[in-house]
Amino acid sequence: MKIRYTLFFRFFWTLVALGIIPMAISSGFLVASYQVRIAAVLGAAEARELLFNIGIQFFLIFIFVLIIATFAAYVISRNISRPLQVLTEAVRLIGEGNLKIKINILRKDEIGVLGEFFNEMVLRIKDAQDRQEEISRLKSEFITVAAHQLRTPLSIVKWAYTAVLEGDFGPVAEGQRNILGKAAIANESMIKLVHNLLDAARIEEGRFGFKFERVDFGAFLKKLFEEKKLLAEKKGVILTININPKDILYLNADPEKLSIAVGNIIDNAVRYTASGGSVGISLDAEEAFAIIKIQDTGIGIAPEDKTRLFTKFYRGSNVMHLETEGTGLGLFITKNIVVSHGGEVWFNSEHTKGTTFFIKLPREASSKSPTNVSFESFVGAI
Amino acid sequence: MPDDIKKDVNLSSVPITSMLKRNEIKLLVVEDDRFLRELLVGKLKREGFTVVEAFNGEEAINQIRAEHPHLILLDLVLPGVDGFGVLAAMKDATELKTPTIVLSNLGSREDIDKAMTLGAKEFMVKAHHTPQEILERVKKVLEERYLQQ
Repeated sequence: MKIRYTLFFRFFWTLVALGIIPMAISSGFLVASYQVRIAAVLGAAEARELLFNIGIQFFLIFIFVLIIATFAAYVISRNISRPLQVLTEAVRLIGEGNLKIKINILRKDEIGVLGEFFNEMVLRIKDAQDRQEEISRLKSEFITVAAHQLRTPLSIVKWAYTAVLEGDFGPVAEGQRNILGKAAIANESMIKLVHNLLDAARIEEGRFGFKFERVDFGAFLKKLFEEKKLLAEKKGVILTININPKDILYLNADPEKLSIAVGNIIDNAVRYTASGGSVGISLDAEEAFAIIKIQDTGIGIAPEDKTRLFTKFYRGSNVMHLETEGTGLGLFITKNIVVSHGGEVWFNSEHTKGTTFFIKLPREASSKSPTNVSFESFVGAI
Repeated sequence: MPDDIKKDVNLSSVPITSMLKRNEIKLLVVEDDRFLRELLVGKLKREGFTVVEAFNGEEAINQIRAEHPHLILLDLVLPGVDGFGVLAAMKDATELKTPTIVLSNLGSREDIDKAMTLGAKEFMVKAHHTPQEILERVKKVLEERYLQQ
């Protein structure tokens, strides 16, 4: 802070002005009224000597005023700026998120009142924050417990269906197999929903638990491709892969989470592409990034859906009546995983012609705090 | 660990399928839900395993001590001592040590890490696997543990 902006400097000048101006005025009057008469009585030489004396006295008083003003300005400004410094420091700490602060101002004046209000305010913010944290904790605990409680009956249903379908309880007729198979598939999508709900809840709590390691990304993508090929073939969709970089592309990433993120997009591409269409996965390397492209010839994304595609529970208007499967959580989870890797995900889409998704991942992931991500997506959802 | 050595001698270099025909491999299934337990135990018994059961943690520890199973299928959420407690007990006492596949509907990274640190060999989420898949994993772990020296 520049010295001429400080409180001390302002008090100093005010005090100097207050001390000097009245004195200068009174000296001026004094000299004006008595100079002529004194000169008449005592002669010009004495009068000049007296005038010189007055000048000296004025100068001495000026020095005296400067000293007093410096001292007084120091005391007053310190009196005000000290508690202000304490407050500034306290506000800075609160800005950093430390709410365990109580400032100690014992004065009874206006600054003391400010201090009291300040302490009260901090207490209230802390209360509100504690309450918020507690609610958020209870919410995710509720989701975890609910999801776990849902999983047990879902496992029972799943195991019962598979036991019957695998013939553990005697042969199953074709018609029975058909209808039980459909029920089993519906049950699977319910299991998938519970799984995604748990992931979404963990993302929002900021404890999705990333484990970064060095990953051969081409090999990672090929493995994922093999897993998804069967699903695509079943639907009559041709799935292809193109690993363009000649050298092995290493990425600092969490392979488990990334296979969820990329897998979700491949699943969507296959799911929303009609039989006979194709889905192409390709990998390219830039200097500091890897770029995955997933291109389909599917139904595309309607223009009105484009801005909200990555938000929770949002599903494209054109897919809602196409089939009931799909939880509306896939792209939300994908985006959170990619952003937590310090990457980006975006898409180009032409309605009814197809969609291309791009995922850009830095080779050296700088993991971004997941809470930021969830805040961003929360704001995006409003 | 005399029991451990005995198990190794019994099992070494004998293919698992032929041992299954003679009901030589003993499994312990720890699961509090009766229906799930019966389905799983039925499947394993049909495959030729000898199966003992427990429905809570204390029972599980007693069964391990009394029956010396070759492998344990362990649920985590149990009345009384939970699955983590059973894993911790096995980690602490060498005579209880047994390869364990955790079979639970928990499944967060923390739960998985906790179970693995406590010595579990595998972690399977019940809702994501069929009894058939569990059976295959059981065989895989048994082969890794007892047949490949």
